[in-house]
Amino acid sequence: MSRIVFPGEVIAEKPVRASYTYTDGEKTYATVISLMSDDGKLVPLEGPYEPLAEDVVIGFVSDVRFAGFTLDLGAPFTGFLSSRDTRIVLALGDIVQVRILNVDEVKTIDLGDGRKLENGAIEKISPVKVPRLIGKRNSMINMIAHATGCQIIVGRNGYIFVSHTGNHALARQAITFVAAHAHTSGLTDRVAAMLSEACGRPISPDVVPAPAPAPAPSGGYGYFGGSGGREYGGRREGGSRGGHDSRRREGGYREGGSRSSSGSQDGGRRPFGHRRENPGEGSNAQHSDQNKAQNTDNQTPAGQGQENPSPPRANDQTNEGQSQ
Amino acid sequence: MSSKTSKVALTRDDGKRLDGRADDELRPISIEAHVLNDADGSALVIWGKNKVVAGVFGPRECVPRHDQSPYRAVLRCRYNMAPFCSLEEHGRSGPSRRSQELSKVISEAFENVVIAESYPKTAIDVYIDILQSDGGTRCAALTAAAVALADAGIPMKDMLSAVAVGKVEGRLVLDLSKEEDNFGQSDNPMAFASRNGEVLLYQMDGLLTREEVKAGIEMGHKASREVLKLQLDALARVYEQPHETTVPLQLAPGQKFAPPQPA
Repeated sequence: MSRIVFPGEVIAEKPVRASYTYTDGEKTYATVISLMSDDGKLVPLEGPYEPLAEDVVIGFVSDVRFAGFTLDLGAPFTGFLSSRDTRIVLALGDIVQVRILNVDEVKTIDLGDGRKLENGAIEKISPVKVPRLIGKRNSMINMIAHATGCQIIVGRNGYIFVSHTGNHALARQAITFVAAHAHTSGLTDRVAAMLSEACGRPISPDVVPAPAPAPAPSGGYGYFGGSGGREYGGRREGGSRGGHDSRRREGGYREGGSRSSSGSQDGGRRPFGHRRENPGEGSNAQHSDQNKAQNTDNQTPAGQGQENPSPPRANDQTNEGQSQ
Repeated sequence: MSSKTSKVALTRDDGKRLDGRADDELRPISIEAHVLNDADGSALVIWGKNKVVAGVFGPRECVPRHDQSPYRAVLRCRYNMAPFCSLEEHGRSGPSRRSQELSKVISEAFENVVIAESYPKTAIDVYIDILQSDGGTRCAALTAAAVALADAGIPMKDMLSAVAVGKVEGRLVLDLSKEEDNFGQSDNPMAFASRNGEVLLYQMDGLLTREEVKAGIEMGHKASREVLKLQLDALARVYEQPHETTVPLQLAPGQKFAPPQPA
């Protein structure tokens, strides 16, 4: 059973290296208000977004310059989408889905793969609650998208794009509900009950139909490129869990943006990130529609597994673990 | 904050203080975390007749740029008394000599606690507003700000809890009220770290002997553990009972905060 720990609270009687802790040489203390699981891992309950390379985030244009666009990502730092890296032309206030290319030591965020999002608005939640909103294998977000008929795109920074198609008021309500109850268990069922009542028809996380072109068992509804790196919680069929992905975030959540929609209107679009030049390197490149089905099991993009052996960012996995 | 010597009686005939407290007794304190929807973290502290609300924003981009540091986040606390918070000299809004001093000492107390190195070039803004004052607002402000910072998920080495110890009619007393502050002999607000009881803030208005200071810190540290417990309870309550933010500002006597139950 997990319990809440507070800043300054002793979580281990000896020095331990773990996320969201510090040590004075004798004991280990928590630094943020968190849930501590039995194995001593901390899942923060609140906190700012920590930008990481390869995260897919959503932001809005806060400044237009000659060289590019400054984007507000809801993070402590703004991001910069250079005109060199994108062809899209943006105006102040436009909502954009972008991928973080690089974050340097003074937290300058370089962005790429910009895609303008139209006919919708941003719903903000705390970034530590994003894994919970997505759910195991996107179950939560797919269920909300399916029930409401909205296109919902989740940025890793806690900005959620909700399209104005469908019952977006209900979608927002569901997202807010998930954010407020993210630390509780059995959440998917409660959201299902709430959506069923609001829609007047039974909504269940299990019966969300898979998208037509991709009969993948793990694929969500109307969800693109949903193999390997996208699955929160690391429950991958191919047994590729852990190990190969030594970035802070376990489960290999490389792409950040879980894309989910009510299906048909997006059926033929190419996945986000198709313009990348080196198809062997990033997991993006493997996500075209036709190879989606066979690639669902195990994706370990070459050259990304070995770097940066820092401790896992605990929230993804542990949050998932509570969901059922 | 003036220590005028006066003939005002600060002890009742039964030996208790004016509000009926014992010398080492705190006023009733209620703390509620997460009271503001649009702040990253917030807290409301009702400490006797003091009402203090604190809101934390950030880490966010630091403007003006010349304030920012490439190595760490700057912590900016702003202590402000609402123009309606009391009668007399505090009844004006805007920065005054007093509120600027308090903003500064509160910021410096928290600089020992907040792990600011993770967020270079940013600012963490803590806005503390005194809605109603009755002596001891800086302690209530520090207490509220600590809860608000924790509620915002800002990494901290410690929680911080504050309390005042003073001298009234020759006796050391805990948590001075406005009358005891104004007409007593000494007022010593102090703030402690939760982890090891380090003194993070100590101010002295009016004199104490060395022995009295020592005894006062002891007394204050003991009381700060009680305050800490209330702070942590308030933070835990946010997650134990998720609810929409609606807080009654006026509590009936004996009434405690009871967040509305989820439907």
